[in-house]
Amino acid sequence: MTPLSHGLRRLATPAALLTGSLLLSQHIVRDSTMIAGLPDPVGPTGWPRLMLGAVGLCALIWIAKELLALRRAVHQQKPVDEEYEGYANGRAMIGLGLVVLYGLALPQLGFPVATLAFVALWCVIGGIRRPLTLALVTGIGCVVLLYVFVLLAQMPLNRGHGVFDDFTVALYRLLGIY
Amino acid sequence: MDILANLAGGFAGALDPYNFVLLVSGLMLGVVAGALPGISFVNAMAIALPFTYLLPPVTAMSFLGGIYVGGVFGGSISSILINIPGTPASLPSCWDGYPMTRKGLSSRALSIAITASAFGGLASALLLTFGAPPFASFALKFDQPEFFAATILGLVSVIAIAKDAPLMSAISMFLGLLIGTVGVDPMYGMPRLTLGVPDLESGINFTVVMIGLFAIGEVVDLICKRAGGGRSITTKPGKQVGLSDLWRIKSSILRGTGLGCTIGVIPGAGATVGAVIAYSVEKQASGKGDRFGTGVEEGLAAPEAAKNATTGTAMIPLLTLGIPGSAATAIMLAAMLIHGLNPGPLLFTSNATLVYTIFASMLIANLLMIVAAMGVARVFSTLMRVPPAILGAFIIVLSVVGAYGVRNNLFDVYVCLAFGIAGYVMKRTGFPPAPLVVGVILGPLCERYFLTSLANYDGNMTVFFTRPISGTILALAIAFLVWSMWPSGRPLLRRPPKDQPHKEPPQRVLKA
Repeated sequence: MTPLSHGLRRLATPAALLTGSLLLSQHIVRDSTMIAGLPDPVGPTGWPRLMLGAVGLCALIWIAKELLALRRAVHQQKPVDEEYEGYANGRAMIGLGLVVLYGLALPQLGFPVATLAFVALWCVIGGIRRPLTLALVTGIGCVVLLYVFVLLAQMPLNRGHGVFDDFTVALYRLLGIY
Repeated sequence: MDILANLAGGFAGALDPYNFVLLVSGLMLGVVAGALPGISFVNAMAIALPFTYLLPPVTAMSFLGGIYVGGVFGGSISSILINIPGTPASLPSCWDGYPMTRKGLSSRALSIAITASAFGGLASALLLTFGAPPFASFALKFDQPEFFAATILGLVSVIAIAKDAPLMSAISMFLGLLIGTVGVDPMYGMPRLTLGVPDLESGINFTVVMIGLFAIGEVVDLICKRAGGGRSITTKPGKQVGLSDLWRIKSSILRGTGLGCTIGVIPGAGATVGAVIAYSVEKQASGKGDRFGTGVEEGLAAPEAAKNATTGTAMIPLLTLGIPGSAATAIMLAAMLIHGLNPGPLLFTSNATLVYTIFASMLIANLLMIVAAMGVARVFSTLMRVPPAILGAFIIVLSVVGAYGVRNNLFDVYVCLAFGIAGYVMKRTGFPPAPLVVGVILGPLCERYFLTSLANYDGNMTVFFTRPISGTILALAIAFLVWSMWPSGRPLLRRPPKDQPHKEPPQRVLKA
């Protein structure tokens, strides 16, 4: 990678922060006419605007630093971080995706089913392959969680929709929670 | 003596069976979380926070205090036994602790570490008990402008301590302050930065932000790192530690304790800074500097004492002014706010029982830590066999349940997951998450003090500078800010000599 393209890539984050702060400063409240009549010079938008200004200013300093480095045409690639040598980037992406899917599945599948599926998949991604270990970890772990949160803490965790709702209710009855 | 009478009441509260059981549970949880590499006690505190809703305020604070005290030490177990610091503050314990293990002195190293930590923690808790009330009496002179100035100082000190990455810390903190403004404003009841999403009108809960940043991002990172295989724990007990051995290293323990207590009071410094400085000082002061790194007992005792000596004194600015100096104390502040307790000088008069129960809990936790740490150290090899994937899966599930439990609202789960992704990205790009969390917590308080100050003093902006205490604190904050931002600004003002490459300083950021 050339110093120029690398420098431009490093400029992306502060540029995004600066653009974001400028855009957000125009949309602090839904209707800006509502603030026009207020006698208070600070008002509800004063503090957020100050924070956005501070973020924008820091982003400008960052951009200036990057431009200065770019002008000196120096490779500013970070030294290889030993902590991230041999790091599984692909696994991280899958992991993050799985976390998002778990969140989205919760209202649809209900807490028990979504959690069972999530724990099992996460363990597989994490390198646990033995079916017995997987079954024991997910099964016992999820049952313990249900007892703690639904029975003891009385948390109204999602039961899911349709057939999943029926399944959750049946499971709770089987476990003696309902 | 008022303090002693109140402390007696505090001990009665802390030794109440229910409180005591939760204090011990928190202590054990903290030691275990600290000892497991990749899962810090801050993660444990963040995950435990929403569950403290179910507890009375005194019990909740005892529980979190237990996790805090136990967790700060817990990281040293893995540092000494397998050369992996469980927490950033335990890094100096690797330097002389692990060489002792390699010599077959693991038991001796652990005993020294536990004793030094307990001594440092106990001294710090005593300083908190007898030093905080007079400080709170002084803080009674504070009005809204002074509280605003003190909050600003707390925010600035978070940047100041990250000397090598002040710009990143500043951006992180301002983003946190910005997140804190989302929702209905405190003065006019007008929705701000909701972008048409009705769920955002009730604001972004700081507990949810904390769980996402400290737990989810960390766990994703944990399953992707290359496993450090091939490590084995030396189980040879080695020569045991006697009182005469501890007496021989008393100067190191005392020096570490003194440094830790002093550094702990400074908002933003925390255990990591305390331990590293104590190790450096000890290297010079012990007369054995040339042998440091080969398993010198003084090199282990000093940072261990310093690390735990920051725990009690870090609570002084938190309880008297509401300034959290680290991620851990920020979580303690969050717990107080959750239970409707406003930290500040008035807390010592309106809620003396709670305050002194916290003091008593800190003292008891440090005494019990010796037993708890010994127990965890014994079963540590078993704990280490639990695959990170299994631990990680249940940490994420607990985080999701915790986020949901804050307001029984699924939207909070989505916010938590979003911050989990943000936490992971921040970890990989060198953005420190602690300033962001401090910003989210202190932002609404800061804004409220700012607006009420202006309302009380006819919109006069100069009031913050003309009042003596407020002006002094703000001047200190400005000096702190200039001092911390100077390394970032200097390259912009100075032309470098020709043919000299511009070097970026290594990124060191504030951690828990």
